[in-house]
Amino acid sequence: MIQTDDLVILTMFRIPESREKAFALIIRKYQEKLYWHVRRMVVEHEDANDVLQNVFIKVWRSLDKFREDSQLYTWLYKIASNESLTFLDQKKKRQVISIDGHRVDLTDRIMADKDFDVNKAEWKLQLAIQQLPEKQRIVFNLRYYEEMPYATMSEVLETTEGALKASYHHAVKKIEAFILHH
Amino acid sequence: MNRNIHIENELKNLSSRVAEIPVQHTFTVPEKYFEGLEQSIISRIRLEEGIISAADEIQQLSPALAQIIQKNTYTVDSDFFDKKSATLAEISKKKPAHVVHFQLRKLAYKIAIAASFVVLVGLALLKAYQSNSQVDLVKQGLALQTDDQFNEYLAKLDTDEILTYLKHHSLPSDKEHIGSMIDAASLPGEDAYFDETFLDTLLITN
Repeated sequence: MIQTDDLVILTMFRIPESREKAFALIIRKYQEKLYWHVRRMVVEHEDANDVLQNVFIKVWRSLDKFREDSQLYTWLYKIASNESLTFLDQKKKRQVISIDGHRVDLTDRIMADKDFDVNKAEWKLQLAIQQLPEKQRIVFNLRYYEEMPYATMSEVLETTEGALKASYHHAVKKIEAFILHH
Repeated sequence: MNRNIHIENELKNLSSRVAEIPVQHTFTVPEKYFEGLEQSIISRIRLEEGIISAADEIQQLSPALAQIIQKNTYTVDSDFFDKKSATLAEISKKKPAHVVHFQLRKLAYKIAIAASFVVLVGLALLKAYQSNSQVDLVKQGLALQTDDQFNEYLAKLDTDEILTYLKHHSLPSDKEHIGSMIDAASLPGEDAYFDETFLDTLLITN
């Protein structure tokens, strides 16, 4: 069931006079969580900002159609995940890539970060995450950073809980292997 | 960071090496990014959907004018509005406003329509009254009460007087009425009449 405060916000959103105010509350409440979810996927801040703005514009346009039988944040994560994947897909098409070009590109961007330190485990972890296929990366990020239950993740990614558990298992094993070898 | 025990144990079971890595944000965000994000998104939505406030509109058209327009050029006494509202309150107490009921106006319309109907009916009756036969009018004019009195009066009149009167006062409806009363078959044939011109000539010559 939907949270009470989200229900209040949604009710406000349906009243034309308080529509914008309600939307501002949604942004304030979810902007940081969604930003980090997107940022871990697209790596660069400018890209994350573009994707996040698109996410909220989609929310503004389709919040009227939101069904209250699911959580608002689940719905927001679904939009953010889809937007991130679409962005990466478009970026992949625009780039001149070698066989493994896209992944190398994201790895390069991480290594170009002013705070990057190859000796720190958390940066190694970031490099390892970028080696994962995109959907597996989303599953790992949602579980590892957001601590999202599989049932909720199942709604976000429209995948069975069993498949998600298996995906997370494979992701952790790949990351472990990368860290051990680098 | 307080981790969910269940999720942490799951990770430890999968990889103790990965579980040892501290969970934290490695990337950084520009300063005050989240403070301005809300306004940035709402401004973009307003722009894309054509929703624009008067303040934003003037700001876009002329930032210089937007600065000027904020100030009132004219001034009023500091207590002007207080006095004005007090005066208005006073007036409203003294003279209660006249309430015009919509129902009353509706009733007036109804009466006007009924009156018009009565006038029309009256005019129709008057017309019918005026079209009564000439005989009835003569009867009334002479204040004769019965047909016998009328016939008696008529017998006293000279034929020429009657003819002259009828010539000048008979109505087309009376002529039609008289015409309808005469049976053409009962009239004498053409041969039964004298040629008056021939008769006059004959009398003169003889």
